[in-house]
Amino acid sequence: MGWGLVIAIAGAVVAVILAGIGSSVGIGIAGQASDGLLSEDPESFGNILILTVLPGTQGIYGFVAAFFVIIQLGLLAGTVPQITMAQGTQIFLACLPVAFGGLVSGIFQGKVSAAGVAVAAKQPSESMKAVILSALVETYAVLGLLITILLLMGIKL
Amino acid sequence: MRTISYHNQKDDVKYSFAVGKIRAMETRLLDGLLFKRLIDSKDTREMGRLLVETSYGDLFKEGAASADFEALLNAELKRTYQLIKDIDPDPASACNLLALHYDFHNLKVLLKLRQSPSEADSFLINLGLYGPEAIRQMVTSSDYSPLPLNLAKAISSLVTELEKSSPPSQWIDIQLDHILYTYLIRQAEHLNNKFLITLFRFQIDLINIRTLLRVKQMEKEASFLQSVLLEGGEISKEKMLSFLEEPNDKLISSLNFAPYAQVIKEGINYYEKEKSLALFERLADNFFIQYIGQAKYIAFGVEPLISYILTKENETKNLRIVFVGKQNSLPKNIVEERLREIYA
Amino acid sequence: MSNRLNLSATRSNLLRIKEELEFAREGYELLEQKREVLVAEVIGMLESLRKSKKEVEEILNKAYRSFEQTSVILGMKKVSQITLAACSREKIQVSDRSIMGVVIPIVNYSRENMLCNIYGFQGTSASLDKTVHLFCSSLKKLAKLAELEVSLIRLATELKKTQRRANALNYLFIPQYSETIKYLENTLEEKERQELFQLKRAKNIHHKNN
Repeated sequence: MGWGLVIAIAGAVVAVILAGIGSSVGIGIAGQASDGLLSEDPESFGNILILTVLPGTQGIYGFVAAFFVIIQLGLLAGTVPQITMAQGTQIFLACLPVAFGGLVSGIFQGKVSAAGVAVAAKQPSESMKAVILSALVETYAVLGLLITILLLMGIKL
Repeated sequence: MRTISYHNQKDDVKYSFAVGKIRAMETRLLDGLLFKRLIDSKDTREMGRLLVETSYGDLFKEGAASADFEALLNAELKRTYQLIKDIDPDPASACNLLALHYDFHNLKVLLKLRQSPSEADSFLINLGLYGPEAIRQMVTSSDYSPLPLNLAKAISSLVTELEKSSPPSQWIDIQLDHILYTYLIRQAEHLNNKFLITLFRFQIDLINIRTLLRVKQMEKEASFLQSVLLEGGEISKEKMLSFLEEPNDKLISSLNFAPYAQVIKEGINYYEKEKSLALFERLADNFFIQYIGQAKYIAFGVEPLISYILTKENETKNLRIVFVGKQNSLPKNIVEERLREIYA
Repeated sequence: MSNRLNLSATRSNLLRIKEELEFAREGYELLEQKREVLVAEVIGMLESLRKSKKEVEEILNKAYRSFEQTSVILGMKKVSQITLAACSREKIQVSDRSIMGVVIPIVNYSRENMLCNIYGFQGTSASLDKTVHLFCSSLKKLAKLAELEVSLIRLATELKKTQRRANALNYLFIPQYSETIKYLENTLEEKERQELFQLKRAKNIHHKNN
């Protein structure tokens, strides 16, 4: 087993961890704000559920990217693939867009969602607009994931 | 109104829960429509009935004497302060500064009545960061150490002076006002809360301008004005003193670019015509309502909490105006003229 | 009915009564003069009382309205807290003067300082200044009103007394005395005539007998 494989797996791990952190922090922030609203007005749960859940997608993107890496490497087949140093580094780098994109956008999306809770509190009928604003942040996590997948598919093993 | 921009240096994510809760509570503030109905109601009893359906419901419920509305409104404020304290993640938060003026009110009462402390009861307000009992304890034992060090020192030396020379009671008020505002500004700077610093600065400025006009009306000399002007505002004390000899137009023109220029211009013009500062006082209050309204755009931080407390203070002030008006059967327009803007 | 005094008709009584009547006439004259002075005084004072009353009414009306508005803005609790420190520094001196022997008061009101000096500027409103000022200046007017009112009451009482005395002299005493004098004079004359007649009769009888 060469160092190439280690580096490739490290890429998958980084993608899951960083995107996961982004989502946890994001949901953490949005969740607290939603709790605050719910403590006064439990009826509004339906309105703020989507807002609170939105920052969670980054973690899923990290997971998807890592899964692609695993498939690419054929780890599930039970045989240890032979990966060169160069290939390993390529896979590692390909994982970075979703990792950092997820980390940063997750946190910021959490903040936007938390702010959106105010909208849901004041005007429950307008809460979908807050969801849309929050989803704008999502775009960049999606772009990160897209590039990661394209790069992974492009890498010839 | 020109918007007052201030920069919030950091997002305080720990306030997420509190802000979420505040946003929900803000929807339950009394609105203009309800105030119209309150003004139109027959007497205080009917007002009490109207308030039963609001967030004041449990206070004004069946049987509660709406005649003692001052106590009920204070109870609502007490509840508000307690609630903010409960949800505030920071025990040394800026919100503590807002309740301090009640402690100073109680302190003034107790110091003025230090010869006969038993009479003080009916004048004390059951609010404040420390509460009337704690303040009474401090005054009777002359031990102000439960207060922050700065305050304790300043008040101790004030009391020593008081024992020595027994100055007129106005002196107590003036000195305590100085101590309070110096402390507020210093604490706000210490907390590095720009929202609060600006708020206190504007408050000091508008109080000083009003004081200037009142001193002018009383035809007092400059040295008196010098002793009553508060320090720490945007406008320096020297500049304020220089206005004493000038006509009031000068005041308007030289403060033309202040954020509260509108207050000064309209307030003073009305004052020149009617010799009444009522409009100035109301515009100043409205200015602060608009100022704290900016906290609407802040999702992370202590500002929405501050704003909620001040809004609630304004709301009870408005309710009190309507109640007193009803109790003395004042004409509707007199009451309406005096109502402060309602935060929306 | 005759309201003459029940006196025995003697010359000395007549003289005494005549003297007393003269005295009563003089007294009546004096009382009448006093009454006139008092009436003039009361009428003059009535005018200034009316004016002073109106002034007090006006200023108190204004003051209470201002007070109402202040309590609307500040709340009763705050206002009562402020008035806590209101120790009165007023000086009221009452001295006397006399008009036609009636003692009437002169109220002298002075103030060391304005009440405005009892509270600080933060947390109090300008309408409070106005209220305090109005109430302070109403005090001086109230003192004047009190002076006028008490004087007027005393003068009026005195006037009433004087009037009653003058009337008593004029309608009771003097007629009574005049009538008594007339009666006494008549009686004495009658007596004299009778005596004269008796004397003459006695003389005639005496002549005849002789």
